[in-house]
Amino acid sequence: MTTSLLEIQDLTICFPGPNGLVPAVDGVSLTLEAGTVLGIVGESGSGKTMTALAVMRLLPRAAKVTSGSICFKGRDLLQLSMREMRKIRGAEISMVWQEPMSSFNPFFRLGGQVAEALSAHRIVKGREALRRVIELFRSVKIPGAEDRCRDYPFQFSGGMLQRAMIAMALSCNPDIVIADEPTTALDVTVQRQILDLVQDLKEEYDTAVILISHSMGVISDIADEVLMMYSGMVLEKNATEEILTSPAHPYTKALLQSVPKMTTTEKRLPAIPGAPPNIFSRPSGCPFHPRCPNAGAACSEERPIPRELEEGHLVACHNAYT
Amino acid sequence: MGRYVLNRLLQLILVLFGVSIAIFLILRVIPGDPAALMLPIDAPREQVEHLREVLGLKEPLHVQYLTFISNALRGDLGDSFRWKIPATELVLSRLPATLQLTVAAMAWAVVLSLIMGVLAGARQGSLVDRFVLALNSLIQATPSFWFGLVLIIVFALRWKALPAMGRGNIEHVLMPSFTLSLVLIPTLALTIRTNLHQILHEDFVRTARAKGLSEGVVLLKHATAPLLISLITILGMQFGRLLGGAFIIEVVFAWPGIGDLTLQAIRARDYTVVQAVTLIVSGVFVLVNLFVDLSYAFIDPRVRLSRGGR
Amino acid sequence: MTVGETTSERGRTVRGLLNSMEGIRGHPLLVVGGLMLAVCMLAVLFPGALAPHDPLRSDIGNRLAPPFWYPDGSMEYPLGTDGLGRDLLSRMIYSARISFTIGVAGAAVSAVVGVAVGLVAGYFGGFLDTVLMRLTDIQLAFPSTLLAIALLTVVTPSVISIGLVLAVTLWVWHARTIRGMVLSIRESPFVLGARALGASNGRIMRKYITPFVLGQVLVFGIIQVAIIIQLETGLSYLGLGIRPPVPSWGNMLAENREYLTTVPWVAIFPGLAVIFAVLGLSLFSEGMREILGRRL
Repeated sequence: MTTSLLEIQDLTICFPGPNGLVPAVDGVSLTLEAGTVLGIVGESGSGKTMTALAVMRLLPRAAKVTSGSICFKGRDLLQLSMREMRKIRGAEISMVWQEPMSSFNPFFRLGGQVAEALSAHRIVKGREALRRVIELFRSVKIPGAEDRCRDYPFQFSGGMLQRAMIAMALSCNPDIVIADEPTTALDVTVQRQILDLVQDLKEEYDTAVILISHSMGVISDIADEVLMMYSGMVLEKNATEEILTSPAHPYTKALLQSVPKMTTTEKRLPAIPGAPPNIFSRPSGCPFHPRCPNAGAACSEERPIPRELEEGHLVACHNAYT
Repeated sequence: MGRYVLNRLLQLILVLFGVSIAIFLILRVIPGDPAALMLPIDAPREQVEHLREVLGLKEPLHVQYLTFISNALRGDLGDSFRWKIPATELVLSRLPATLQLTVAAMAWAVVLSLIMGVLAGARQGSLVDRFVLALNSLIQATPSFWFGLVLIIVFALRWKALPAMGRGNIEHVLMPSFTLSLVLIPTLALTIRTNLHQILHEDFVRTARAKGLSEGVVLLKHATAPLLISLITILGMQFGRLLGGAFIIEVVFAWPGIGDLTLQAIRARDYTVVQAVTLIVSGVFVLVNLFVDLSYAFIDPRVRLSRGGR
Repeated sequence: MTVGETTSERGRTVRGLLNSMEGIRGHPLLVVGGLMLAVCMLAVLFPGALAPHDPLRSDIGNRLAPPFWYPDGSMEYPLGTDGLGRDLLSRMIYSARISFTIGVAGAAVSAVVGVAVGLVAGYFGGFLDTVLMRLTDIQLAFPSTLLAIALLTVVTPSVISIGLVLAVTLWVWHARTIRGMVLSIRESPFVLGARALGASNGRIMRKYITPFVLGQVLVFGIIQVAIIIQLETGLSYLGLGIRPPVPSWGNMLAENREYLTTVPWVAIFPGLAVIFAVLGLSLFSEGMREILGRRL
């Protein structure tokens, strides 16, 4: 049995609530193979960002990991000391954030900030590091790379900064890049460019990517596998092609139906009635049952466990479409 | 950036003019005859009249103001009634002492506030944090000059370790400057605490951590610039309070600065000197504000480069 | 809440304020501060009942008597006497009345003026706003102590005049903050909606803006009482404030300065009184801020 690059098992992250601890991520498991792209789709409150932060051990102070393991190259990241974790951050696992405009320090030049990861991990320093940065800027297609290194973040557009952030994430040749809503803050045309860029670079650097988004459209473009999350749980996981053509979970299906297509003729877009629950008021049993068209008796009582319908296809549902 | 500086300078000059008008009016429009106030109660009529002529009080108000301003711009703020020398000279001779006290107090304040602010801000809610908050509440409630008296009692009178008053070498500066710093410390420490807490939650700090940088580097490198800005802002804003505090503390420690001078002038009813002090101090104040603005431009590239970018 | 309602809006405002003050129990700051203030209020309102002696009465034979815990001291003069044989404790208690009167009066005037200016500047904006803000800039160019000193040299010091002078130095706080609040509220959806429905400026100001403003003014106001007390103490120490024989914590410190070497307690106790009063006020205002927190 070959070990996956990243294996999260039964991860539960809780926050203190008025009556004790409340889970924001509830028994989530996933695997990531080297060189693949895993897309995580979910609405706000689904726990997708928390999961990513947990991998980096960057959870907010109030959050507590109450159970589970995150195995990266065989080691459980949750058990590492902060010193060891810091060696991994930026070098073996790196992140691309949603808001490029605020994710850089406004007081320092961009080139220096991108080079920081390199020098922090003792790969190269000083002039050599800057040369690497210029190369990286070129590979992410920032025009005039040499001059732009000396500019400050406020002098760049959102799209350019995002490219710089991607460059920064790739600078130390990491095994995994986690991108949390990397295109949400950008214009649609720029989104397209960034996604293409990610695809190209992934090939070139042979990195695994975890792409997090609330948009199926963004994910389906470049992901090999898709994971659907809702209210802290994994509802469905499948290869991208399969999940688009034959979604098994009612949530997945409803989500796909609500995406407008060029051929849509109806006046009103079908939307999923209701709203996703916040972590303090999760429904009993399956968290989706109040909004589910397929909801049955068992759904409000018993929490569905992910079952393997076919190879590589997991669904957590009592009444899945088959 | 040049335009920014020019802009600020013009604004400040405008404010200075406003201040001069205000000072001018205060001393002349308040009910009561300034000349009569300046002389002892039983002074003969002719003396009062003569003084009024000398002070130009018989002229219409706007003429008085123009004379006042044109003289002021040439550095002439009148002669001290009591000491019989030009007021400007008198005030400027005492200014260095007050500035020394103020700068020393700022040094104390910055060091102590940074220590307390960082300790509290990095770990909000902890025991250290609460202790710092409580201590600063206490400091804020304590009249600085009273504390100065206590220090004198302990260090100068009981233990005879430091001189009780006057200005001379380093030992003389220690107590007065520390006492003065208490005026500044609570505000400064609390601001640093709040700002540090905010800064540590900024996105770019999260990015720095995600790159694998140690907490130490994150604090020292990434948090410093924004912290410095708020530090300088507060120092600039509080400079006025610091000067005000210096006045009283100079009296407590018999420190030969402007505050001491002003009070003697007040007792002697020497309004020319009071006026001169107010104007010069406002001028210093304005310069300090300009300096603060300039340092923003120095530290924050967005300010520096905002007109025209590259 | 529709624009056309005529039910007592003022009552609603006060009730609204009181409603947000539920759960006073869980707020230690408020309780401790409140207790301290209660002690101060006793001294302010009933000094005759608390003070063992007439603060102006001299007992020359007993000058510089030490506090009762010293061998020479007695319970007749619990904290000792000053250079003129006057009871320290009584003088300290009567000083409270003077200080708090000036403090409250000054803070009230400062609040009224500051809020008025802030409301007008923030709500009407434009030229009026610019002019008023330039005025505050000019005022801020003066260190407040210096301004107070300058003003007090030409004005004869009395409780009223000192209060007014100090109010003049502090109204700017209120003005600036209130203006900021008004600016942000002015553009908020419910105000725009009210305007669209034809509400007059006065009504909008009273009904929508005032509740937000009240809480802020209260918290600031209490702090300003503390600041004014401190300023007055300093000014009295310099001889520019309350003149003896009327007792003020400040002038008590000044009068007894010469006895520092021999009998330091005459200089220490008045300071402790100031600390107590100011601390009480600060804690109370912090507690208020916590309680009204949602509104600010």
